[in-house]
Amino acid sequence: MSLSLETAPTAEDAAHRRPRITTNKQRVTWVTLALLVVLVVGLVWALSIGSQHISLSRLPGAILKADEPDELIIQSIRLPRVVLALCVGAALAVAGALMQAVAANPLAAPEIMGVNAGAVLMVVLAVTVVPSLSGAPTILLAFGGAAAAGVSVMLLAGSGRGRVSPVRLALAGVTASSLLISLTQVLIIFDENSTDSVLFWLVGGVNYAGWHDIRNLLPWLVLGLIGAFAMARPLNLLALGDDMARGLGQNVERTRLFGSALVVVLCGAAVSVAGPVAFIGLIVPHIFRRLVGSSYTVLLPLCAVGGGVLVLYADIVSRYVKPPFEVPAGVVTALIGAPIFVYLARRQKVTS
Amino acid sequence: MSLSITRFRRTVAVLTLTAAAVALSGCGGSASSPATGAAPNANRAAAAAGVSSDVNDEQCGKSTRTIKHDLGTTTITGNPTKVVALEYSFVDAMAAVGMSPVGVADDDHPERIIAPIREKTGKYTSVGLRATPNIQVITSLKPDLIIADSGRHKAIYDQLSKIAPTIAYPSLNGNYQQVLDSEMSTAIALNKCDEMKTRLAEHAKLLSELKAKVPAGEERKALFVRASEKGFTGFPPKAYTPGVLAAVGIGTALPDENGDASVSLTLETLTTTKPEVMFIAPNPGPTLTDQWEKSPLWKQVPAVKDNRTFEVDPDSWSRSRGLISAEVVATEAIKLLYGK
Amino acid sequence: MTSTAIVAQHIRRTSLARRHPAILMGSLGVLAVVLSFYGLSVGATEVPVADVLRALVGDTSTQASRIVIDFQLPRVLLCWLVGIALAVSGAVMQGVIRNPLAAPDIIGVTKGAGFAGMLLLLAIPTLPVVAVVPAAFVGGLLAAAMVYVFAYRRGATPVRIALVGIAVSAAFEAGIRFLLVRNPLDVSAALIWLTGSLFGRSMTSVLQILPWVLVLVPLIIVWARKLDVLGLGDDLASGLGEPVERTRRVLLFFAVALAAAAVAVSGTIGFVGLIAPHMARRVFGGKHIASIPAAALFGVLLMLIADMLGRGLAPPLEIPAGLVTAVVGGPYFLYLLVKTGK
Repeated sequence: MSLSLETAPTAEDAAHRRPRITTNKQRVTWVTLALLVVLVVGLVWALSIGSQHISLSRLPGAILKADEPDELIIQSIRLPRVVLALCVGAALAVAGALMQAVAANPLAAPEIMGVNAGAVLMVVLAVTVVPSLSGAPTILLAFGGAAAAGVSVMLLAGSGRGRVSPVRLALAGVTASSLLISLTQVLIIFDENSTDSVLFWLVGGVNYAGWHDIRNLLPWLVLGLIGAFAMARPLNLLALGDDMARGLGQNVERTRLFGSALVVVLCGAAVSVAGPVAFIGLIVPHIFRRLVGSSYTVLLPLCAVGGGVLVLYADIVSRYVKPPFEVPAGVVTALIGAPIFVYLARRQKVTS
Repeated sequence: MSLSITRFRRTVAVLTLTAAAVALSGCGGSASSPATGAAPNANRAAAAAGVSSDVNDEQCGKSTRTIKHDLGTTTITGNPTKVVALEYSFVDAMAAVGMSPVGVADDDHPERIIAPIREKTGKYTSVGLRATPNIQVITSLKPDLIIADSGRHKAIYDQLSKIAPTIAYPSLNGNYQQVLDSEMSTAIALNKCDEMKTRLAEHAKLLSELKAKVPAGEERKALFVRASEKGFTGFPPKAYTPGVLAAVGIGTALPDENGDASVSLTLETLTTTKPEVMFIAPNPGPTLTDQWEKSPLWKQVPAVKDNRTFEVDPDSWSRSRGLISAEVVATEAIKLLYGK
Repeated sequence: MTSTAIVAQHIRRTSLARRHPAILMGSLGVLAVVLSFYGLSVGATEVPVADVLRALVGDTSTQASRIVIDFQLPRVLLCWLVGIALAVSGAVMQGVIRNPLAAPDIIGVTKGAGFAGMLLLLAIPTLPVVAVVPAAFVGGLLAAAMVYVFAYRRGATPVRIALVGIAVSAAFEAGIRFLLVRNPLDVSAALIWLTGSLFGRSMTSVLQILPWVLVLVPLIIVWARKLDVLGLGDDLASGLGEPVERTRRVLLFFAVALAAAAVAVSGTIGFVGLIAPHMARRVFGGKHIASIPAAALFGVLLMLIADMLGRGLAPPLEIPAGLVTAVVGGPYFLYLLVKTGK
C-alpha cells in the first residue's frame, strides 16, 4: 500500500493522461515477488488470528484434513473467509481497471459510478420484498442493478460527446450513487431489520464468509477474470485513443461493450456476496499503474492479486477495531481508500 | 502572495486534521447507560417487588403526582385515561394494570404486539414508526399522558410535552431492571400503584416458582441471539433478555466486560463462547443459522451437541419488553429447558 | 462546457419570463404561499383552512389551532428556510465553480455536516439534541475548508474543487460508516437523520437557521453581478478588474455557510441545491440577479412538496423529506445530464 505513495515521481502527471504502454520487465518481476510475499504473510496472518488461539503448526494439517475443532475452525471458518476476501478483492479491482480503460477515465470506478450502489439497492429490495430469496438469484438481481446504474451513468455522462471528462463522469456517478443509497436507506428504515444486516448492506465485509458464498461467486469471478485477461490487448489499444485504436483495426464499440459487461458481472457478483466493499476498484488499479505502468497484460493480473491482498489485510485490520468481536472489512477499506481518493482527485490535471 | 497562502493552507490543514483526530478519538466512548443494581430493595416493606429504590412510590395514590423520569420531572393530575405509548414495553405496562392505550407507535405492524398483551389491549390508533411517531396523529388523539423512550424520543420530548404530560424511560436500550422500574413508574403516573404492586408481586412469585424448577447445581450458561441473513447478534448479561433469564437462574454465556449492549458473533466466536444452551430468535427469511447448521463446527458448539438449541419468537423475546413479555420469556425458557 | 453553457443559457430564455419576469416570479411566490397554507392543514389529520387562519391570527384556543402553531408552522417555516438556503447555496456554487452539476452535496458540506452530527448523535448521547446543530454546522464548514485547501494548487480551479469535493465527501462518508459500525445501537434514527427529514423540528430549529438566511441571502443577491462576471471565465473576469480568487473565496464561503446551516437543522436533504438553480435558470435565464431569487422560490416549492408528500403518502408513517427530494430530484438530474451533454 504505502509503496505506491513513496514512489511518486513528479512526471507521473503526464503519464496519467496518456498511459505508457511500455513496461519495465525487471520492475514487474520485483513488484510481483513483493506482492506474493505480502500475500503469503497475509494468508498466514489471517489464518492464525481469531478468538480461538490456534498454533501455526496446525495450519498445513488443517487445510488437508479436519477432524479436531481447531482444524475445523481453520477449514470451515478462516479459510473461506480468506478465500472470499481474495475473490472479492480480485473482482472489484479488476472491474475498476476495466472501467478506467473502457471509460478512458482515471476516476472511473464501480463505487464512484454507482454500480455498487445499484447492485446493493436491488439486493436489499429483493430481500425486503421476498425475504426467502437468497444466494444465486440475488446475484442475478445484483447484475441487473449494477448494469442499470452503470449504464445509465455512462450514457448520461457521455451523451452527445466523444470523450467524457472525468469531472462530469464523477459528478454523474456520485449523484446517481447518492440517490440509490438514499433509496436503500429508506428501505432499511421501514423494514426495521436487524442492525447487522443493515450495516452489511451499507458497508460490506467478509465476516460471515462460508464456502457457499465462494461457490456462488466463483463461476462469475472466473468468467469475469478470463474475459478481462483476454481483453488486455484491445484495452491497450483503446488506451491509445479511439482513432488510433480504430486505425489499428479495433472495433472500439465492441471492446467497450464487452468491457462494461464484464464490469457488471464482476461487481454484481462481488457485491451480492460481500456487500459494497469500498474503493478497491478505484485505488488498486492506480497503485499498480504507478508501479508497473499501464500495460493491461501485466496490470490486470496484478490488480486481481493486489485487490485480493488489500481486502485480506483490511479484513485482518477490521478484527483489531473492536476485539474480540468484529467489524466489517468495508469500514477499513473505506478509511484507507478515502484519503487516496482525495490524493488522486487533487493530482488530476483537469482543464475545463 | 503564494508564500502567505501556503502558510495559511498549512495552518488550515493542521487544524482540520487535528479536529478530525480529536473527533475520531472521541467516539471511543460507549453509548450504554449504567445498569441499575439487580438486587430488589429489601429495606422498604411496602415497596413493589423487584423494583429498585430509585422509583419514588411515595407519590402513589396522590391526586397530583410528581414523576421523576429520565428526561425531567413531570406533574400528573388525576387519572390518565387516554394514553399514547411510543414503545411496545409501555403497552405491556398498561396491560399489566388492566389499561389500554389509545395510540401506539407500532411500526404499523400490530402483530408485533405479542398475543398475551394484544388480548388485553383494545382498539388503538397506530401513530407510526417508533423512531418517528407522527406528532399530528398523537395530538389528534387528545392524550392525557404520553410514555416515550428516553433515547429515541429525546429530540421530540419538548414537543410531546406540549401535547400532554410526557414521561420517558429507557425501553429500546433498557435492561430488565430498568424495564421493571419503568413499569412501576408508569403505574404511578397512571395512578394504578396498588394494581401494579399486586401485579409485580405476582410477577416475582411466578419467576421464583419458575426459578425453583431449575435443578440445584445448574451451571449451564445460555446465549440469547438474534439471527438474520447477515448477522448473528448475541446479548451480554446487561441486556434485557439475559436479565430476564438471570432472574429465573439461567446464566449468560457472554462476558459483560466491554460496554456494548449487543455483540456480533461469527461461528468462530460462537465456538469459543461455548454456550451450553442457545435461544435463537430468527428474522423472517433465511438466516446465518441455516448455513452454519451445515458446518461440522456448528456441531462442536456445546448447545448444539447436547441438543439444547431452541428457536424462539423475536417479538416476545426481543422486541417486546416488560412484565408480561418477561413472564412469557421466562416460562418458555424453563419449559424448553426442563419440560415443565 | 461551462462558460459556453452559461452564455447559451443567457440567450435561451422562455419568452414569457423574458418579457414579464416580475409577473412570473410573483406567481411562483403566490404558489409557494398557497402551498404553505395547504401544508399547514395537510398531514395525518386534516386541519380545516379556517382553523389555520384562526391560528395564524393568534387564536390558539382550539386543539386544531394548537397543532398548527406548535407543529405545522415550524415545519412549513423550515421548508422555506431550508429550501432557500440550499437553493441559493447551490446557485452560487454552480456560478462560482462554473459547473452546472455542482451542489452542496458535491463540495463536501453535506457529508461533513452529516459526519459531525452523527458523531454527537451516536458517540455522545448524553449531549442535548440542540448541540447537534452547531456541531453539524462546524463540520460542514470544516469539510468545505478541507476541500478548498486540498484543491488549492496555484489557485483553486473550479474543476479541481468539484473533484476534490467528491473525494472529501467520500472520506466523510467513510467516517459516517465507521461511526455506524462502532455504535450500532440506534442505526435507524441515524439513518433517518442522514436521509434528511423535518420530523419533530420545532421553533428552535427555525431560529437556528434564520439568521444565516437573513444575513447571507441578501448579501449574495447584492453580489449577484460578480457571479455573472465570474461566469465569463477567469481571464475575462480578471480583465474586467475582478479579483477572481478572492471573490470566489468569499462567495463560496457564503454558499457553504448557508448549506451547512440547512444540513445542520434538517439532515442531509439532497438534490434541492442541485436542481432548484437549474429550474430557475431555465425559466429566468442566467443573470444571477433574477435566477438567485427564482432558485430560492423553486427551493421552497421543492421542500414544501417533499415534506407534504412525505407526510401525506402513507400516514401515520412519515417518509423522510430527503427521500422524496431524491426521488423527484434524481430523475430530473439525469434529464439535466442529457440536456447539458448536448
